[in-house]
Amino acid sequence: MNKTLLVTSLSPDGQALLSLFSSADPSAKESSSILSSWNTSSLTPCSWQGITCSPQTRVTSLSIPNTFLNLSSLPPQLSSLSYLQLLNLSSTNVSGTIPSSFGKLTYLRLLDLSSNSLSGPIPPELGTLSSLQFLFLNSNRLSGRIPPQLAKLSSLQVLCLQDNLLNGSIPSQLGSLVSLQQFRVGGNPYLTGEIPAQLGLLTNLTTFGAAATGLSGVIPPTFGNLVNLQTLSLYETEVFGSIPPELGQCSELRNLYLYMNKLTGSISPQLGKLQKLTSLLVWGNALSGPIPAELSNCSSLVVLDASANELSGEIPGDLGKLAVLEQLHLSDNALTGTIPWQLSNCTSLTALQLEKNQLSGTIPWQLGNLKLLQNFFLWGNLVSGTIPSSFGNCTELYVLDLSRNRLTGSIPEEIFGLKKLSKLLLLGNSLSGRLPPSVANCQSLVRLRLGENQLSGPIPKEIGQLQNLVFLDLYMNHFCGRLPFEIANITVLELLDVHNNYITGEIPSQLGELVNLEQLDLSRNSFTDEIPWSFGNMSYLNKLILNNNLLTGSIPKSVRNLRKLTLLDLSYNNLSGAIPPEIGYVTSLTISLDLSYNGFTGELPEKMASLTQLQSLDLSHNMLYGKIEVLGSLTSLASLDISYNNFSGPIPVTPFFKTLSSNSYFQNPNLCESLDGSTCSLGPTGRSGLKSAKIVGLVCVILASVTVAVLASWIILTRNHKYVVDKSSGTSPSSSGAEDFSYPWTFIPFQKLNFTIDNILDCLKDENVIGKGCSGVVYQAEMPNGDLIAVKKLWKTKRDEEPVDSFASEIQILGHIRHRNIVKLLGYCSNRSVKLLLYNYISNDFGLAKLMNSPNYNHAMSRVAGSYGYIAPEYGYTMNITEKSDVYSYGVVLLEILCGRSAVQPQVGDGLHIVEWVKKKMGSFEPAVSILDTKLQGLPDQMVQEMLQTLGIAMFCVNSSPAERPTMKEVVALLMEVKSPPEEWGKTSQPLIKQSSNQS
Amino acid sequence: MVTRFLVCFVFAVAIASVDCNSEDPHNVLQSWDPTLVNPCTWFHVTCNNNNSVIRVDLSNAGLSGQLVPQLERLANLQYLELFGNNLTGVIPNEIGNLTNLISLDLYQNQLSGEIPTSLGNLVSLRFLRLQSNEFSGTIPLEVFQLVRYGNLHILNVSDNQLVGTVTIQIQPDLQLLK
Repeated sequence: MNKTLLVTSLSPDGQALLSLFSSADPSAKESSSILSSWNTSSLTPCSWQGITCSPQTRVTSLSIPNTFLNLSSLPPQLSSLSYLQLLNLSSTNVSGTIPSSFGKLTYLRLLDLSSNSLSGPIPPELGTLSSLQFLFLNSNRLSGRIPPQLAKLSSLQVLCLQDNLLNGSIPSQLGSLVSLQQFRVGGNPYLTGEIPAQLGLLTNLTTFGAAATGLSGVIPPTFGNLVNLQTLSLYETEVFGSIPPELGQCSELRNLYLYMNKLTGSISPQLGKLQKLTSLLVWGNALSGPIPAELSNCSSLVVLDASANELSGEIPGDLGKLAVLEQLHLSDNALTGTIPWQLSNCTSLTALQLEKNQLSGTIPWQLGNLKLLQNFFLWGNLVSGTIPSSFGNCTELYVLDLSRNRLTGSIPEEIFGLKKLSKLLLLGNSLSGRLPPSVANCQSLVRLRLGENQLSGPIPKEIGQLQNLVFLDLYMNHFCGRLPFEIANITVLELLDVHNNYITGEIPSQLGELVNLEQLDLSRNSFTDEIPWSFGNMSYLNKLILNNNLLTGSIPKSVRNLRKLTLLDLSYNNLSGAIPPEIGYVTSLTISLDLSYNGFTGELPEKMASLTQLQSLDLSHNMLYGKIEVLGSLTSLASLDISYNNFSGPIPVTPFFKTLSSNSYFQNPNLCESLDGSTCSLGPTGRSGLKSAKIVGLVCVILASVTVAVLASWIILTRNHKYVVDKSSGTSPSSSGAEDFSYPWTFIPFQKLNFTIDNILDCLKDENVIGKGCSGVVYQAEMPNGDLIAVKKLWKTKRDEEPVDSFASEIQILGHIRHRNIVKLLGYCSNRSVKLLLYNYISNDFGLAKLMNSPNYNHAMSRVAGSYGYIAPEYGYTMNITEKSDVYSYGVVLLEILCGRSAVQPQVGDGLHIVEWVKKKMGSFEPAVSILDTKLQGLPDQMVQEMLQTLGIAMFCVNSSPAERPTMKEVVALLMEVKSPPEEWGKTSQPLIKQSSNQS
Repeated sequence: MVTRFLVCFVFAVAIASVDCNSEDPHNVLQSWDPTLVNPCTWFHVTCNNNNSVIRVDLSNAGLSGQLVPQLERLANLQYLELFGNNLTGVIPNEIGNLTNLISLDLYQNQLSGEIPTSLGNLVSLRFLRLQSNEFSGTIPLEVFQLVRYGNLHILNVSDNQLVGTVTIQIQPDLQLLK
């Protein structure tokens, strides 16, 4: 050896390694602690991190996974490292092709290039690496065929090619790789052809993965020879034929994933031999025949999912022997017979899904023994009898759906004792009896859907105590009596449907407090009296359906506030008066405005011309008169009926009116055809031509109309007193005269402030309102020096004389907090009547987005000292602060990590809260990946996809409805599933959360 | 995503099976319990008196994905309002089987491919708004014939990559053609 040369020069191996930098991002070296240890002045690279040498100082191992190399190609110089045994460049952000010269690395035992962006073919030269034991090329963009030359890798134990763009078929020669333990080619959607029967020779195989490919043909019966096989993952492919009974010989099999294929035939009883089988997923095929009772011998079975097949026969009672079974999914088959009571022995069951079969008989009461049951789906069967009261013992029950059966009897009260029941769906049965007041005990209910039964008696007023209820369907039953006004206490209610019952009395004006309501259907009942003025407060209302009742009076002018209303159906009532011009402000009316079969009088208001999006208008069978010119402005109309009124003048000349048949105008004798839209061309139109024979009829109609009008006026007069009372009782706190600003004020600033109490009071005007929460209304206030502050005026408490403890508590907590992400409380003002909190102004006052009027509003602010930006929106409006509020905060943190953005960035750009920002981005045309932190966007596609999945989970967490958020346990499960397809587990790249199980 | 949800929606209407909730980024489908006997109480869905779906109003809902051929199962559909989403892919030919359609509003999406000639079957169609997409090719003669012989009054295909010349005589009623 020439010593001087060694002093002045890095060894050739070292030079070759430095090629990793030649084209690399200069910043890459700085950002990596490993690469910064690569000292180019050393004689050999043997001391560099990630490098191992032989005693002859030749490099034997280059292992720098998860290092940010950012290379556009793999340098061919690496192939001069002729002593190399281990080469691991997994997750190093490398693109380009795999150099064929890597075939010269004849000592190579491990080659891991996974989770990069490599493209091009797999070089056949890799087949010459006769020492190779581990080959990881998965999670790249490799294309072309799988080279048959790989069959020469006689020492190969692991072959991972999954998640690429490989095409062609699997070379049958690979059946000679007898040392192979893992064979994974899944996630290559263009991989086609049959699975070679020769692969059945790979008797050391523990994992066979070929899911999410275009593979077809049958599952080779030779797979029965794979006596070490633990996982057979072959879902979402084109394979057909039957499940080979020979698989019953794979005695080590734990996971059999065959779902979403085209498999036919029956499930072989031979599978019952699989003592270690934990997951049997065969759903989404065309399997027929019975469920073999022998499956009950698979004593390790945890998940059995055979849903969405064509299975018939009865559910074997022997399945009750499966003591560790947690999930049994047999839905969407053609199963008959009864539900075997023996299933109650599967005491580990959490999910039992039997919906959409032809099961009959009764529900076994023994199912009440399933103490861990969370989901029970039985809808769409032929089950009769009563609902067992023993369900009351299933204390973990979360969803109970027995809809669309033939159940009779009453709803057992025990069900309402369940503390976790969130969804109770009993639609479309023949249930009778009353809805017991004890329904209020089930505080966890989010959806209560009992429509299409024969329930009777009054709707219990206690239903108003269900503070989490979002959907309430009681339609098509026999409920009678009044609609309890207490329903108005369910502040989160979004759907209230009680149509087609026998409900009488007034519509409770309190319903106007349901400010989150989107759909209200009270039709086909016997409601009397007027439409409450307070309905104008339901600013989220989308559909208002009140037809076929006995409603009187006129349309309240407050209708103009329903700015999201798309459908208004008031037909078949006894409404009267003129159509108010205010209806013209409801420009959101797109679907339908139906005022037919009432006693409306007067002319059409000019303002109706604003309803340019309206598609269907029915004014028929009223006593309206005057010109219809305004209808010519309704350019979106596709359906119009103004028959049976007394309209007059020319018919508008628009394309739409040309298409109308005379039925639309019938019985309006004074309408006329026109050429210019303003003057009659032909006199009264022949379309509705009043024949002399009909004069008598018309006289009768007029007489009847007069009678109705007189009656209506009388009703209006008699109601007038009440109307005035209603109005003065005031639905808007700001308009109530009870607040008195004249009492002496106390003003306590927490810092030096350049304004006075009078400056603040001057700004408390309606036009400055920027939000309302259940705790109060928030004003934007501009101070004399130009500073903007937010002033929250707390709603008055019911008992004025009591001091508001929560007010004091919030002041105490927030007044001492100093942090940029926490709303800064500047100070507070109060007098005997009014309490004001002063905050720094942040443009979107998060947490106060939706107006809420919780009955507990005076407590709502207590104990709330979460960091602004992380606290859940319900803090703004409800007392129901649960662990779900923490889930929200967790979601915000997740979003921050993924987006590289603070929860609140008032000083940057749009200043949106991160949740709003992500929603906005998702709603925009930009690709979803643009939401991610720019530093993350360049990572391998696989990882980006995982992060996008995580983003989705985060968005679940920040759902504005606490009930719809997952539990933290579910979040963990979801995060684990980010890499969960069975094909994915065991990958070399790390999932965001380490996989601990192999559940699908 | 919309592919899965629309499939699930159609299935839910026709055969009622799939749980849609997990496919819905903006919670627009949160009311869609698949077990409902019909979807008439679902938000953004409107039925006629026979409980057949006549409208789907999911505009500006942040939905992405593709339109599915199964939409043809909504045989009574009159209004398909899906504008202002992130829909991609083509208009399935099967949309032409929805002969009760009055309004097909797919504007402001990223739909591409050619406008299917099958839309010429939509003799009830009054509003066809396809502007601000990525459609290519020519406007089918069959669609123009809807203007001349059918009920089409508003046709907007502006802001696309369409080519060709309008050769037939357009009746003066056509309000908007860009």
